Amino acid sequence: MEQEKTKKSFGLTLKNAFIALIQGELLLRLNIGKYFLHIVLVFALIAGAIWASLLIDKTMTIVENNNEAIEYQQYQMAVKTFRLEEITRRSAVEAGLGRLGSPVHENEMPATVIENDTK
Amino acid sequence: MEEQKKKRDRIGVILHTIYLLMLVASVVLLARIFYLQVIWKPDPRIERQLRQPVHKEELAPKRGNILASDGRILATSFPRYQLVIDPSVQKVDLSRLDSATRNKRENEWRSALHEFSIELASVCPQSSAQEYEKKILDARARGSQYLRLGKPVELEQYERLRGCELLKMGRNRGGVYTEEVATRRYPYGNLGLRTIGFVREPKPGVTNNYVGIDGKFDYILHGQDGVMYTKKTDDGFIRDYDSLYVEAIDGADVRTTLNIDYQDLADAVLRSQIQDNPEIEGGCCVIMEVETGAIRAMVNLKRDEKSGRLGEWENFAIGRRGEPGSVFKITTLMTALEDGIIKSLDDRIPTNHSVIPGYTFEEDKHITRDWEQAKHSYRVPIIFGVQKSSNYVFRYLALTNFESRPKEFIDRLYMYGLGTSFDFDIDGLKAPYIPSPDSPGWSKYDLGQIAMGYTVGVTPLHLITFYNAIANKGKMMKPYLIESIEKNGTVLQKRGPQILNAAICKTATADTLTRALESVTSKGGTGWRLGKAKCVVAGKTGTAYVYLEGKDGHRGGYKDELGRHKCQGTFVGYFPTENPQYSIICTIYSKLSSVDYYGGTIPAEVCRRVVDKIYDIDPYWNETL
Repeated sequence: MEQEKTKKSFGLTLKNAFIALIQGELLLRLNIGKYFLHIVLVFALIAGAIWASLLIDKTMTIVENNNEAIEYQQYQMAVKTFRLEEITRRSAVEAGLGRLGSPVHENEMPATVIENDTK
Repeated sequence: MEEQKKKRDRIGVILHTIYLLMLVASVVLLARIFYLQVIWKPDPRIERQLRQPVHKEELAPKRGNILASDGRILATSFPRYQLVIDPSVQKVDLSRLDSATRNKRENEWRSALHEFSIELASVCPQSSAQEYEKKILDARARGSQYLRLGKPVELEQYERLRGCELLKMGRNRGGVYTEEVATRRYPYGNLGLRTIGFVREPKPGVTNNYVGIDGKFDYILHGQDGVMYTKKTDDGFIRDYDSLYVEAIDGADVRTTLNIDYQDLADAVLRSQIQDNPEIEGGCCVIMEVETGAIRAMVNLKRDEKSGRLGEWENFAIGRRGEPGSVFKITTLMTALEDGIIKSLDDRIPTNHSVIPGYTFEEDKHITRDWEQAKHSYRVPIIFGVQKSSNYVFRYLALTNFESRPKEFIDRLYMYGLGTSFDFDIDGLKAPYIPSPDSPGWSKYDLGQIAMGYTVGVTPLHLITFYNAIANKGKMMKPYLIESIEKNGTVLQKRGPQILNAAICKTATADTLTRALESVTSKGGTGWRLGKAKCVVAGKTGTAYVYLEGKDGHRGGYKDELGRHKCQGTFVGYFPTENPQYSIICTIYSKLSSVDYYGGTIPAEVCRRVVDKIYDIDPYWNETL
């Protein structure tokens, strides 16, 4: 009995809503005007979110480009360090000096260290 | 009033009609959206273009470096650049333009291509500029979209190419881009390559793809792979923050004990001594710090069969187990001293024309000719046996004292660390072999053979570890190559010296052995070449014939059917004897030959030269003003 009553009232609400919709009075009857500010706010938020998302994408593109540049710089540093290591090889230094006609070569006796007694 | 009401009704009807039309339109719109979203399936090609593409990208971590003990880089990683071109770049866009603009743009691109081809040919001389240009234009005519250009180039070369107009135009207009090819680099070339190591791609027939330190510590050096999803924007690809992101963790650095200067000089000396002798298969030289067991240099040179060139193709020091010969005799002397069988090196044993009753061994001319005939004496001092490396003396000591209890003798060898393997810092350390009296095939001769370094099998690393223990007054240190694991200069894990055996012998025994080994390098000893070194070196020479496995119906033995043999010559010792700083071993391996390559010749000479060079540059010998 109670269920039938609820069904009837729901059907009536739908019917009234549809008639109001056709008559163009639905929003007025719902008194939607009092939520106008909320609607504007939601709209502004959505627009803001889209705009922020575009800005983020732009910023992230810059970040990615910078990351690539940093990585490239790191490679450059690695290459330069590598080249530096290559030329510090003891035998290569001596051979190079010999090729250039330098009389400088590996020491043939232990070094004499001058002690620092300024402490 | 009536008219005004009518007018208002008319406006109302119009507005109402507009409203109803808009309502219908919105219903249609909603229905259309529903249809497009749920029911309609677009053409996949259009769908691909419309949907924002998200790509999965594997993030490769930066591989850690391998460092020398002083922090110099031994192995590092940075990429080479493989140049790639999309030959059909702009082709579709140009087809939409009018012919005048199209021709102008096409000519611009071709002119840039011409300039690029010339520069490319100077960087990648595998083809000429004309060939490169033709190849690209042919591919463009075919409609190809991917073409690799030459071999991967170095960063410096890539930087030169970046100045070309075609690269400046960017990937979308010029069509050229690069693919990074990860490459492991060694600033010192092949120096110590078997020790520093490498990881190689699996190849058929090659089982060992993880070589040396780089291979063994791959799990530390490699780091952890990451994953990132990227999306396309108007300005290029960026990370998609709504998708999974796993950051790549770079590998840690491995600091080794290697002193690259010592490695360099040992390599140069060994190379100079064996390079011109094609009968030498190769050799190794290891320098170890006495106090800690840190390996400062590990050189392994093997001759390439075809080119005859020497290179680091095999790690002899840890991977070649062989009968060591006379360098093993010191174990017998150590046992005799420890057991009180002899009290001093001046103790004498009967010469007996180098015959041990009950055994048939070849005549030892050091006894019959160099002692009995020269000195007219029939009792020989032990130190003479050590100095001349007499087989008889050491066989005598073992057989007369341990004939009834050979197991005790063998157990001593295990105590000296010569029968056991240990966890080394690179893979491939061969376990030593010592026969047991319990094992089948044991004969009464074996004890005498072991006493002089035959029938046992050890690696050069085992031998230097044993001699290092003598230098260290009996304390046996574990040889090691890894000092620490580091990241950005911070030590994550400190590794260091480890004791294998706190005392393999008494200090007095070690001192006596040092005296014995000094006699070897003095005048008249088999290692006399070391007597000329800039500091006093104690050591022992050893020469062994390599056992040849039988094949094609021939029995195995120490000589082939033509009477040729292979030699393994070794010198092992330490210096300076008054306060040993370093141990050194050099072993050379000959090919089949009728020449004997003694430990007292090339290996002793290599060691002398290395000792002299270390003496000149090591701070230990510096004088202070």
